[in-house]
Amino acid sequence: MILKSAFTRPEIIQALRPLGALIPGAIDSEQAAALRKHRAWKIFDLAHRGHYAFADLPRAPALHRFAEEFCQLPLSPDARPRLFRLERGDYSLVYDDAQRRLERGVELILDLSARATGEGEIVYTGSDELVIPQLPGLLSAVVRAPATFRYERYLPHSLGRAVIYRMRVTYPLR
Amino acid sequence: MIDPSGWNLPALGRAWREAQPFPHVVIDQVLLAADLARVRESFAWEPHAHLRGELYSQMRSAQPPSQPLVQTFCDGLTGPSVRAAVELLSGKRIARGDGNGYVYREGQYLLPHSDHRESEGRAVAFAFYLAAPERGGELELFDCRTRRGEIISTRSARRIRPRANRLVLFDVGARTLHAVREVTRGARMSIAGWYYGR
Repeated sequence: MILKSAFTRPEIIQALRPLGALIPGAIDSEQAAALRKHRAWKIFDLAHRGHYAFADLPRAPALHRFAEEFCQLPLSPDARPRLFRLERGDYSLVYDDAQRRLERGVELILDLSARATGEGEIVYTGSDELVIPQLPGLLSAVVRAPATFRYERYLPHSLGRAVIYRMRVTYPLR
Repeated sequence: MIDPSGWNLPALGRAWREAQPFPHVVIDQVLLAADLARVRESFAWEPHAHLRGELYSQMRSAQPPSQPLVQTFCDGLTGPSVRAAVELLSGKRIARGDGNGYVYREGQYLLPHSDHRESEGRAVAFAFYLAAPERGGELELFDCRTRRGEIISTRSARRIRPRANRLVLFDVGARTLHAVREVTRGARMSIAGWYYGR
């Protein structure tokens, strides 16, 4: 055995497994621009949970296939992707507009913004912490466990007129 | 240093009870100008760590603060005479208090939340302002509508400017949502904390 004996223990291997992966350049800029043109935005505004605009999209079987293949997990195909639009002063806390908390599953978030802002990081917390930068075209795939929480940082005035667009879909384990 | 004997407690008690969206009072000119200047000078030497979390980006001191004069002021603010005054005006039993120094620089904030923690016994929150930013940093109080104990809508109901030498006291409860609005110019310096019921 080359590695220390601890690395044979399943609980150690489980603890070392990365929370998620970041994949840059996952969408063409034209495709992202088309999604940004969505018109049917709704505003979510509950001060202690978040403030942002969102719009639901139809199911996307290609995203589901990707999530299953990439994470090698059987995932329910029922989830619908949701678009998010965040501007200066917006934020999304751990308890956002979600009606039910995901226990176990895979969450994909695709950044559709026109430019990088240096703000608006997504933070996953739990046994580990994963901070996802705001970068156009960046896809994050995160395996969520019951103790995994997510929030999106408050966007300060330095953001100016920039707008952050994201698409998020969360597939529960089958 | 801090002497509540000059506070009009019956009037403050009425203001507390009638305040919207939840009980609070604003007390100005808490310290003599010379004392405020001394505490502020001492506060400038107080180490503050940058903390960033789900709800905040802020600079926070240790508890208790390390600068002797800041500590003395903090002890006075949470000491027996002020606690007795807070008890009278709020009608809540106050057993003890503690506080930290806070600095909010440009771009820093505290998002809407309640200070209520069942296990900790926080009864009344306080914030004493040592220096006001040029823009932003207001204490914002929210009105909440509930259904079956759940908050179903929130509305910004009052913004209190963080003027130097101002003390704000507000009720702690599950629905007393408040925030520190982002500072957009200058720095906001305060000593803030809680009075506890046990």
